[in-house]
Amino acid sequence: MTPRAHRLLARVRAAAEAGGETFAFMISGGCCGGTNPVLCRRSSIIEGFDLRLGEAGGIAVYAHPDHARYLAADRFVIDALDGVRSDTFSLEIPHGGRFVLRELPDEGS
Amino acid sequence: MAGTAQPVGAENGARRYQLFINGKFTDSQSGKTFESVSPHDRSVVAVVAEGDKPDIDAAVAAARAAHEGVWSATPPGERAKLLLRIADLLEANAAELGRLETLDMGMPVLMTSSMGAISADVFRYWAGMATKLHGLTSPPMRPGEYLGYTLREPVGVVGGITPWNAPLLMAVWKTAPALACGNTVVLKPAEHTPMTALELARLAAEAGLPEGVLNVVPGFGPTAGAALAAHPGVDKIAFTGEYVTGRLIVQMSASNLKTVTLELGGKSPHIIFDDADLEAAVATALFGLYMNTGQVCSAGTRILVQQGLYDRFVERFVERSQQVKVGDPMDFATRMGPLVSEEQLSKVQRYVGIGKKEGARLRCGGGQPKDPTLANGFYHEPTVFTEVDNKMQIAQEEIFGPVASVLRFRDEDDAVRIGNDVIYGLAAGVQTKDLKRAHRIAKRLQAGTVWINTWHMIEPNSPFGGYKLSGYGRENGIAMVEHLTRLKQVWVDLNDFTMDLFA
Repeated sequence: MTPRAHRLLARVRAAAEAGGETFAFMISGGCCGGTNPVLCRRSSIIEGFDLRLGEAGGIAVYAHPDHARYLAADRFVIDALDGVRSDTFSLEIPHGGRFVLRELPDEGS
Repeated sequence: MAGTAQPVGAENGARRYQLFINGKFTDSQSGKTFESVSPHDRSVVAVVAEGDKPDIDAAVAAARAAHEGVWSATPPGERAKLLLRIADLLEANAAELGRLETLDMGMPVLMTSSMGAISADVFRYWAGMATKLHGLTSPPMRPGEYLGYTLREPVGVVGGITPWNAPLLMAVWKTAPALACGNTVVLKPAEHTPMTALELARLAAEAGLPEGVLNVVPGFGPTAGAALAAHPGVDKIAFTGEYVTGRLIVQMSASNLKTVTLELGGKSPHIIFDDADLEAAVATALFGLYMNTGQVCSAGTRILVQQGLYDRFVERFVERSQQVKVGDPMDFATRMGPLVSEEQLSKVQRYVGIGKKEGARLRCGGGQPKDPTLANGFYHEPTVFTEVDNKMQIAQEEIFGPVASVLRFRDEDDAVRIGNDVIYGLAAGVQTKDLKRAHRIAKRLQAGTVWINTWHMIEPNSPFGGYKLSGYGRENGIAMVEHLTRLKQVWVDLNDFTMDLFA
C-alpha cells in the first residue's frame, strides 16, 4: 500500500465512529467501476468462498476465486487517487479519494 | 400539478443542480454539494447537491406516498399518455440533452445528440406496455365450479442505481419500464454524470408526471446508493455497475427481501471467422470496441480471429485504429472522446503496462494523444494488443477503455471454448457468412446477447442482461415486466353449495 493510500485509509477509519468497525478490500471487476479495490465492511466477505490474496494497510484483501485466478496478486499495490470519485460503494469515496490498483515496478528497474 | 423545476442557468460556466424530491428541486439536507468535472479539460461543469441517507429517506417516503395515492389511482391509459408526453419532450430537447451529456461524460456529441431520440423510443415502447399488462384466468384442477384469475400488480417503489457511461439512457432504462408498470421510482444517478438524469426529472414534471412518482437523488455510492439499496421502503433495486458493488447490493437487499436485478459488465468475445468479409469485420470490430471510448459493458474487447484471416485482419484493424479521430467530444467530427475520469484513465494505463508485461504485442496506441489541446483531458489513444493469450489479464479483465485484445483461434470448438472462458457473460458476437455455423455458435455462447454480423444492437423490446458474473435479471422487453410486477392469484367459488368440512 502506498503512503497516499494509507492517508486515505486513515481518513476512512477516523470517520468510522465508535471504532470496532473492521474493513476488507474486495477486488472488483466489470463495468464502470472496473478492476479496482472496493473497501467494504469485513462482514461483507463471504467466508469460505472469497479468496484471501494478502493484506494491505492491515486490511485483508479478497477476490472472487474465479477472478483471483487471473489477478497477479504479488504484482500490485493499493494506491489512492486524491480528489477523485468513483461509482462504486467503496467506503472511501465520501472522504475525497479513491483506492486504485497499481503495478509494482519490475525488479531492477 | 407537478413541482416547479429549478431553472438550471449557468453560473460562472458551471450549472447548478439540486435533488428532485416529491416534485420539487431542493438542496440536500446536509447542504453539501459536489462538482461534476468535464473529462475534456477538467473544468467544473456542474455543482450538484450531494444526497445522503436523509434525502434518500425523504425520496422513498415521497415515492411510497405517490404509489399509494396518485399513481395507483392513475389508470394505465393515463400513465401511457404521460409517458408519451415525456417521450415528446425528450425528443424536443435532444440537442440540449446531448450537449449536457457530452459536457458531463465526454461521449462525442455525434452520439449523444441522438440519445434524446433513443430515450424517447424507450418511453414510447413502455407507454404501449402500460396498457397491455394483464393477468390470466386459470381453470381449477379439481372438480367443481371455480374461477381463478391473476392480477398483475406493480411491486411498489423501485430504486435505480445507474452508471456514468450512458447517463441519460441508463436513467431512462431504469425509469420508463418501472413507471409503465405502475411503480414509483427513486433514482440515484452516477456521481460523475448526474446532469441528464435531473433534466429527465425536469422534463417529466413538465409533462405532468405527478409529484413523488419520479425522484432523483444524486450522491455517492457508499452513502446515498447504499441507503437506497438497504432501504426497507424500497421493493426492488435495479443496478448497473461492477460486481462487488452488485454483491453488496444483494447483501443489503436482504433486509426486507427486496428483489434485485444486476447488470455488471463483461469481456465480450467478438469471434471473426475466415469467411467473414474483411472490411465489414474490421468496421464492426472498430464500432464494437471504440464506441464511447470503450466504456460500454457489452463492448467487443476480446477480438477472436480465425488463424487464416488473423494477419490480414490485424493489419487492417491496426491501420484503421490509428485513423480513429480522437478529440474534443463537442466537435461533431470527433468519433472518440476522452475517458470519463482520472480513475478510468489510470486503469487503462495500468492495463497497457500489464499487457506489455504479459508478453502481448502492442501494435498501436498505448499512450495519451500527442495533441496539446487534449493534454488536460482524460484522453487515451486507440490501443491494440495482438498475440494475446486468453489467460492474460488483458484478456480476462474488463478494461473499460479503448484497448483491444486480439486472439487467434483454430476452429469453431476452439472459438467457443475461448469465448466462454471468462468470468463474465454479457454479450458475444460472431462474424461469418455461414448461416448454420452462426446459429450453432449463438446457441453455445454463454452470454445474454449474441450479435451475428453486427454489434451494439440493443432495442427497447429486446431483453438485455448477463450470464455468470455479469449479473442476473433482464432489462428491456416483456421479460422486464416480470421484475417490475408481481402476481396475485384470486379464487372465486362459483358452486351453489358450500363445502362444510367441519359440519
